Amino acid sequence: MTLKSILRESDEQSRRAFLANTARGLLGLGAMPLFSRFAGAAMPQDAAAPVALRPATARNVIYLYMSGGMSHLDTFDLKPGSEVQGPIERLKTNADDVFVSQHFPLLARHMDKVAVINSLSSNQGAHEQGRYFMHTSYEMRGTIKHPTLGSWVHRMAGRVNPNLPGHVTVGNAGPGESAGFLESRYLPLPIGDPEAGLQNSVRAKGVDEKTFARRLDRLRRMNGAFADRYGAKAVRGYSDMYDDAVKLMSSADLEAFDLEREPEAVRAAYGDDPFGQGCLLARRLVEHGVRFVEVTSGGWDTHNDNFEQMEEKCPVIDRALASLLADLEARGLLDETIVVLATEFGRTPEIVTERNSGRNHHPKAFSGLLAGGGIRGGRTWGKTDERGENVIENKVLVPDFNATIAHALGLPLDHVLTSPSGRPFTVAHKGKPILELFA
Amino acid sequence: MSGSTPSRIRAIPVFLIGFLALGGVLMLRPAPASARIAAVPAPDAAAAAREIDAIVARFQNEHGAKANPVCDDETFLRRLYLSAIGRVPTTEEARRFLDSQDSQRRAKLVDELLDSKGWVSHRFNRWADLLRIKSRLGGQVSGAPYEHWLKDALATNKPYDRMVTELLTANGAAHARDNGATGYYLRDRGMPQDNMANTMRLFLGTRIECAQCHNHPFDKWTQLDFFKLSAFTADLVYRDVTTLADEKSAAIREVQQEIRRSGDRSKQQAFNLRILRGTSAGISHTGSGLAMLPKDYQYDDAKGGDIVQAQVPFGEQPALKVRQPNRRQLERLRRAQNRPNRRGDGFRFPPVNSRAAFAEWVTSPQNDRFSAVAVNRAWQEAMGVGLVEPVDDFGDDTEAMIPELLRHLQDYFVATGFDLKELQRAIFLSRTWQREAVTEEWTPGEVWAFRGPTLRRLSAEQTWDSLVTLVDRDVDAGLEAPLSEEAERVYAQHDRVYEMTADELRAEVDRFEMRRQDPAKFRAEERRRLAALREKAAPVLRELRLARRAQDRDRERAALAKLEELGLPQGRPARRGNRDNRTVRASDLPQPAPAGHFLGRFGQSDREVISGAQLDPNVPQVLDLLNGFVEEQILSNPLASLIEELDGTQGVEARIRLAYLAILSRRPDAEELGQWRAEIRRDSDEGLADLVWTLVNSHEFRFLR
Amino acid sequence: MSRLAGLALTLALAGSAVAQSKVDFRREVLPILEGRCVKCHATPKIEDGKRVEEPDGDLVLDSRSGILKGGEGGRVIEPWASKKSRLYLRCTLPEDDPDVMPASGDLLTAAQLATLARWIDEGAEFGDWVGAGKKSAAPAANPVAAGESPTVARWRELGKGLESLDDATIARAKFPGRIEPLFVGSPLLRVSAIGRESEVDDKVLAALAPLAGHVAQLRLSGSAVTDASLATIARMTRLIDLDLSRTKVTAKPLDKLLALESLRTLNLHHCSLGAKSGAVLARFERLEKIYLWETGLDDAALAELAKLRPGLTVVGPPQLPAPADPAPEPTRRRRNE
Repeated sequence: MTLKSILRESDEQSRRAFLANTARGLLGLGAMPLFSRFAGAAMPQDAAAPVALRPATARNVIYLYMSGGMSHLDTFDLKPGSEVQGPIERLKTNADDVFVSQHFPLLARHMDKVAVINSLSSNQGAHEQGRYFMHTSYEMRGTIKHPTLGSWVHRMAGRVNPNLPGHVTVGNAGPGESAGFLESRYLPLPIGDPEAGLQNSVRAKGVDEKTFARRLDRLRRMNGAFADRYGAKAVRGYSDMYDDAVKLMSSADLEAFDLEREPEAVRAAYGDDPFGQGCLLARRLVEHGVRFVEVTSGGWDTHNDNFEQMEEKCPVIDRALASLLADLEARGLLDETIVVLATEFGRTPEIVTERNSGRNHHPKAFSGLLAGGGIRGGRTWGKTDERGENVIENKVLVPDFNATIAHALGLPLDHVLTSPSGRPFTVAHKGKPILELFA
Repeated sequence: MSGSTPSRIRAIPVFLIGFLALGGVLMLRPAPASARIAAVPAPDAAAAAREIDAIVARFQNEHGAKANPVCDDETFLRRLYLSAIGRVPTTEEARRFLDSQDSQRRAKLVDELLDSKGWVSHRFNRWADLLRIKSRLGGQVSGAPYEHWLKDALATNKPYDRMVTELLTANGAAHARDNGATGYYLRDRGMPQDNMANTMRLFLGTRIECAQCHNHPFDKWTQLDFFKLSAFTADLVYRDVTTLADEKSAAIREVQQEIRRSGDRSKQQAFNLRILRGTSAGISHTGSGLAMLPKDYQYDDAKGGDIVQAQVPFGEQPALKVRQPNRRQLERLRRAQNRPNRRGDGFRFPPVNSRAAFAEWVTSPQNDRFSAVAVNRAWQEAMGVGLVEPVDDFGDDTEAMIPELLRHLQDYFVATGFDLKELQRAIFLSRTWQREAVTEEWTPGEVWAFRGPTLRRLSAEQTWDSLVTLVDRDVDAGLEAPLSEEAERVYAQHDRVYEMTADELRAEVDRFEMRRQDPAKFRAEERRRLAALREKAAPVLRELRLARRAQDRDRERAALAKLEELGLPQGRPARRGNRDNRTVRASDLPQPAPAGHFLGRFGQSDREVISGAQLDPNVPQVLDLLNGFVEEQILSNPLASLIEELDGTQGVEARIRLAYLAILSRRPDAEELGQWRAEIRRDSDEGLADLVWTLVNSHEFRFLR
Repeated sequence: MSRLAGLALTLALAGSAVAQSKVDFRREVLPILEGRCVKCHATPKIEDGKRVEEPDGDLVLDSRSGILKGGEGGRVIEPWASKKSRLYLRCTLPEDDPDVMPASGDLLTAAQLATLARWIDEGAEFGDWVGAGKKSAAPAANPVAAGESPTVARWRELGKGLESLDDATIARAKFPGRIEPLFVGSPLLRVSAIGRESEVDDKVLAALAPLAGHVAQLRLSGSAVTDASLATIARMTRLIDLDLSRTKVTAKPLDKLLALESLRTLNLHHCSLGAKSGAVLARFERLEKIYLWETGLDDAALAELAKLRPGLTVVGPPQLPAPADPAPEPTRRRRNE
């Protein structure tokens, strides 16, 4: 018996076993347990099983991204009395050790739940590279694409609710932010407009339930014949995906995407703007078992009119984040949901007067927030000098920040995933979690 | 016959060697080998196809495998349209072929499609994925010239070695007319080493990127190999505003000096941003052939900070004279490194044309791997499985599954002067490609007998372009010329700056500065200026309106060009649908398609890595087909070609046949006909809608067999 | 064939998302490789930029990357498929086959082969092992063990001395939602109805009885359980976190849970408890956090409970901000470059 014959035979064997296993599942809507595709019943090679998790204080992530580079000096790392501060005043909060800018009066009542990181530091001063670094923990390369944290989490921890995607982004994702070298099933489901919900998830206008069912029936007949003749893996994959999509359309979980189900007062509390409604959507999704939701707020690149823009932008975040934290807490979701606020870099202490008081990019020192999911709130971590220019205490590099989130989720930081080209990568790229932040 | 072909071809390289030696010396840019093979008689694709079949048959005999039967005309029709021009045939095209009694109809259709505009569109999609084409290259550099370069290269069937040479030796301003090949380097702005790793992978199937940071863990490449290789493109300059004064016009130099002397920083910035940034961005320096090892170099075979000379990791070393740097140069280099300057005016070794030498080595007929990788990619694209897998991981010991076939394809490819179209023609004409699809999947390590092409899902672009064909059967007639309006606009703007007088430049800078400083005043001024211009241009504007009303594209273009000249650009002409959701072919949409587009959902490459396209299923895709595109663009669109044709067809049976032909390029069988006839008799409109919906959602539509 | 049977069992269990004790590469597989393979398949040394001592078949088995890369003939392992992995297949050939491995010495034992196959079928994961090759191969020490949070320490304490349940026992419960270990290696379980809420009713929950002593977290939010389920839950002696929010559970049988000594958080959000339920709630002496928004208890009752039990965090309605004034027209909107 030669090696080749073994190979051929084993192929034939596994092929037959496998056909028997799946014969009942070919577009037989509802015949198979939904998550079988992920747990490996269909095809062992396909199943990228989640990895064994370490102790996890968080199960979900709501990741709020301030795109453009949020000024740390005008939000969470204020330097009252300093020449670098400008006109913005400092506000006390319900936590002794924590101060916020005057534009966060609502959030100030919830800072006991929040850990402020004032010592973030990056080496990427351009937007695209900075965003990429923040999202993936790796520097941008031309030869490989790294998964974003959301895709890492999805891949390593798996989905919570088998009917819903593992990873959703609300608002515009940046260029190059994707599942990287992971299979496309770890791509986020993108929601452009939170109020519009999930695209194409309801029957088209004029197609009633009866019509839709009839069409599915015709389709099943036709696809059944095709699948009988061409039993390829890819064909079965599509049969499964039709099952999933149709199930989702009729699933009670679809309501997770529907903000109309929220009381008017709650919608108003989050703020009548895409970011606020995005945060509300994030809460609904997490509640229904979506593991990772990212919501983006754009326009933080305040080269011009920094202070006027703070006046506009901060209240949106203030309202949305205060509501999100209060709402999650009352539902008991905050214990297992880590809420993150991140950005690609901070802004310079120098105020550029010819640009009507603008601030430029400043990656050396900036701020981020962590709350919930086992994080002890009401405190500030790390320190910058009196100008907010350099970190002078407990520097947190971008991979460290991401490692902290991954640690909260119990993702093993040393677990290597290999790209198809054979290169090894780890979540948070060898960053060290800030263990002191955990309660 | 089949025996004589390879021997004839093998004779060719012998007389090439003499040319090669000359080529390196006499020409600044190496003349691609294709230019030197003019004397070879016209290649015979049919003979090459027969040879493919003979080799495959021998291989199958040896392994006791049996070839699939040759597929029927309907399968061939759909497979060829999708493979050659990237969409399903229209009903008219389908009928013309299926009704033909010509015994040569298959070969004739191959010839017809390979010479069509659709072929350029579909090839563009394929190359856009390999070259990572983007409509925006970053730093305000437009990708339109690069797209133009690629489409033009395809439309003129530029020999492959020449294409690659143009990319690797690209130089000059990115926005200058017909200089789009610069996009190849600008695509990886600031990352020349990554670019080099991609070059090695793309054109030579050599995965050396790991050696960028450390010795390759499972191949023979050392980090030293990589740095020697990277020396060919070392010292490349990604030009920005401060570089290359020599290309500026006298007027530009005059105004620039004047502003610099004035010390007005804001005005300087305005000048850089408005006048220089868009115009001088590009590539320069032909390569020094010298590179410095990183300070933290960790192996014993060299020291960190050493200067190494360009050297290729395999094959014959290209002819290149590099002098070791002298002490003065090293001193300047050291100083430049101690104060890093983002503007890029740090020290560089003198150019010695090392990029050209490298390009010559890459594309040389002696470099066996160059043609091997190209033909293997073409084979894999056509058959679903490469002769070498993965297609871009060749090693010294790599042996093709059918070595004789790889040799034959390579010889043919070289003999045709690196003609990718002829290569494709030979494959399409082979019976091997025309056989019924194989439904098993190949697993790595397994012997594959190429009993036929494999069953595959349509690519994102094939899916989109096919659906668009159902909406607009004339979609190919509407394809943009390689020189797109956007590219023309970029070139015109670039040219205009060089033609401006000093006064015009000053005015332009003032205007721009005002816009930055005092937007309100700027808008008022701008209104005044435009009003004056409009008055001056009134006759041309009238001409434009008339041309648009008459739908005369040539007149419209002429008028637009005139307005552009007058300083009154009109933007893009009106088109059907909004910009990104236009039902035009994927190759005419922004590259890659904008976020949330159908194409992205179906796995179009995001153009970040080579071959980034995906064929995996996902829920949003399926939801789109269930409830989105079909319903919006076809079923509820009375102007959709398919709906028009159905409306214009009498009789239930004829309509069913029409829908099957339009969507699946085949006739329904008796059972299908019977089932749908019953459905449609019951309720004509609903039944037909069900039919169209079902066919578009079917596996048969989604997959290429 | 026994392998196939094993696979089938694995698949059946996978249906309820149960994690299994997996082969530990470092502990179980590496010794086989080191003992029987790397003598001929070791990473070559580099001297003067040249490689010396080439490995047989160009196959290196003393590094993660080498194993993944394979040798002359291509890949040697296909994760999840030992039957397609030459690393395994070559070792299963008959003794007289020219291709059999190891090329010298005894064949691998049946146990070794089984370990190898199982490791591959479980995805061929290496854990933190990298092996030879790079200079700085040693991975960072596991940072987790060092400063573990009190929450996690409590989980460890609670699981001490408890045996992990076998997969079959868990599978027999036929729970439609998710059952997973609290974390890798822990005998404690996390049970969640999410995504299958409508299927999780009293009957389904009762079937969890054989698992009761292992459940540490129970998430039944939005499920169909009623008061009847509290008897089952009361047997979950190691329960720490209990989420009954948005269920039909009332205050009546809550006293059944008083026996749960480990219980620390109790989520009753949106359960009809009634205004008078504060009394029974106050009797949960070890409880640390309780969620009582929309339960019928008014602010006064919540305050009363908090006063009675100073150590207890009582979470009531969210302090949502009042709706904003109609937004004033933004002073100026500017777009930045």
